[in-house]
Amino acid sequence: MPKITLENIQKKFGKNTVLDGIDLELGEGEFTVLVGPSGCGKTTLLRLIAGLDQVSAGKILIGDRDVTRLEPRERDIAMVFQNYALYPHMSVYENMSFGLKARGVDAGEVKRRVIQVAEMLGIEILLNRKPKELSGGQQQRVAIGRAVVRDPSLFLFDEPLSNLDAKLRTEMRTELLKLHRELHATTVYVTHDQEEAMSMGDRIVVLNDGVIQQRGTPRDIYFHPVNLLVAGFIGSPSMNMLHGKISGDRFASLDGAIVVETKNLPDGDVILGIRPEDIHQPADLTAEQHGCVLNCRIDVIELLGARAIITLIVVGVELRAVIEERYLKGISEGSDLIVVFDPDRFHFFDAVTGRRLNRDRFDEEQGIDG
Amino acid sequence: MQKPDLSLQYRLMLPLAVVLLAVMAYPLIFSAWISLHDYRLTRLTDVQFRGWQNYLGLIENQQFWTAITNTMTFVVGAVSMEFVLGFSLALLLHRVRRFQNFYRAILLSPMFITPIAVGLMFRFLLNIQLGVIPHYLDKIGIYVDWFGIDLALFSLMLIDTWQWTPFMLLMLLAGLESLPKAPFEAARVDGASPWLIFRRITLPMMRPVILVALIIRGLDAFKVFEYVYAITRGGPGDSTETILFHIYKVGFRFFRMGEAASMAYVLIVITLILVTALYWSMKRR
Repeated sequence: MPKITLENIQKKFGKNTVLDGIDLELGEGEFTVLVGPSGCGKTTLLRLIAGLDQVSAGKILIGDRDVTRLEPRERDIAMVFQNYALYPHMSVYENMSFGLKARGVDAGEVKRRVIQVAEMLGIEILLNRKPKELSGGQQQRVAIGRAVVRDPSLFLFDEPLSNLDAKLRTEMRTELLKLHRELHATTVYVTHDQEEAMSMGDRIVVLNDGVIQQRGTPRDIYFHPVNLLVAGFIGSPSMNMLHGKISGDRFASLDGAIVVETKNLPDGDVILGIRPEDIHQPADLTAEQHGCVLNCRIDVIELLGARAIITLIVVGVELRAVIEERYLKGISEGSDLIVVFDPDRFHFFDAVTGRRLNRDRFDEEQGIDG
Repeated sequence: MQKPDLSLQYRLMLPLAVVLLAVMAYPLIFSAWISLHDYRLTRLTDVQFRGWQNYLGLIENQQFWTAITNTMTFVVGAVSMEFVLGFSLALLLHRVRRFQNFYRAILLSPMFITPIAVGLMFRFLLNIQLGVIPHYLDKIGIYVDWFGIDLALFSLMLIDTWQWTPFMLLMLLAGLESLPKAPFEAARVDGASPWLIFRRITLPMMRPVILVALIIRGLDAFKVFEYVYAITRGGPGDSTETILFHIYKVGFRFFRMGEAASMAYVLIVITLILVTALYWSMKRR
């Protein structure tokens, strides 16, 4: 499985620049997830890699082969579409064998491969059915089977799970990961669902407005977001953002609710980011970790099962926290709650540029400017 | 809750039902009755019941079968040409975005001319002595008698093709534009050549639209009358005498209404059989 190199990719539709200066290298056998809000250009980028659209500038290499101007059929890729894109008039077998036949693979080999892949995906009993006789999940399996059977050098997935219900989506996610482990195929996977991105990707590329915001492992992206956009987009519930000011190594939120010591951060307007799961009960942290203690009022409790999302009000500011269910005993909406924060888990962002300010070991390693 | 007044809806439908009965059911039943009688407009006082004699007589009626053969040839020839041309144009126009409305309007315009006018127009355009087209063909050494015995029926097919290809184009273009894009993209990624995509994806996915277009045009072509009436009046000989023109001749020029009505009923049956056969053959695949 070769690596994929994108060099300075640009895509314009008329005067509208959809992708600008995309440089990306996707390692051999790696599962890369392109994630970003709707309209950020992730599907366009995938279509450019597939050859369904042509780049306005830049180069696409699969291995050492320049495929920028090649037709999709000359690129040796397989793609799974959001709406499955099965051939409605063909049976499942014909759908899966179409690509092989188009490439002149001999009939015996076609049959062997289709049956092998169908068994792998558990769809061998569906082979004679037409797509309209299948459920959404089955159609998705056929679409994946159609891609896998070709044994291409690159797999492209365009939001393949977004049309499935929540339960099926989780199941298919696991299956796709197992499949990837089995095939070790270089894969590019597009999704707008950050949870899907976090759980599936070896590497995540966060896009916004046609520009790469950050690339890295799911851990990098989650724990060390380089800017406000990535911080706000990745994580559910999303990160709490508090406007405030740093002066003389001391941060104070605008409402005065939170005041903490800072180290080596420039004075000025900043935004403090706190992940909901970094808001704790006093018993969770050691006394040394209690950098900041707040007395809040509980506005809303959303029980998710083992955990709950609670919306807290502190001096008119809303904070969302994720706490374990066992802490819910004795508290209710409208009652008061004391919470503590570990300042080591705070994220500071420049209020003007949105860039991350506090540098840590990770930032040093990545060469990220403070 | 009060029970809805069902009688109101029937009363509201009544005027339309009366009109339909008067203009559809009555003529149908009356013509069926006529077809079983020796009903001549010249002898209305002496109408004799003939049973199936009018129908049985058609088996031996050489002119009737010539008219049927001419009509079949016309339908197959004209509709095939219209389909091939219409589909080719639809495939071309489907991709072109510039000046789309302009040339669509131009291409569709023949359809909006009344067929009798089209017939008259071509009668003069193709006339061997007066026509512009034979005149210029003659200048480059080509001599064609468009309404001679060999070519007359073919010329009528060409005229029909000129007028009705736009209809085929319109239907097929609408069909092409309503097809989902994704299977075509999937086929491109799957490695299919444009020809394979056309054969294995476009054609099968277009089958329902093609079926409807062929049935509508086929039925319409069966009714060809205006061109024959305006240009050849069935000649030379009986080479362009189509079934509708023949029925018209027998009924309204020879006044043998009983015989004409029986032919009309046979035509209905033949048309129904053909449409059903076409429908099932397209649907089965």
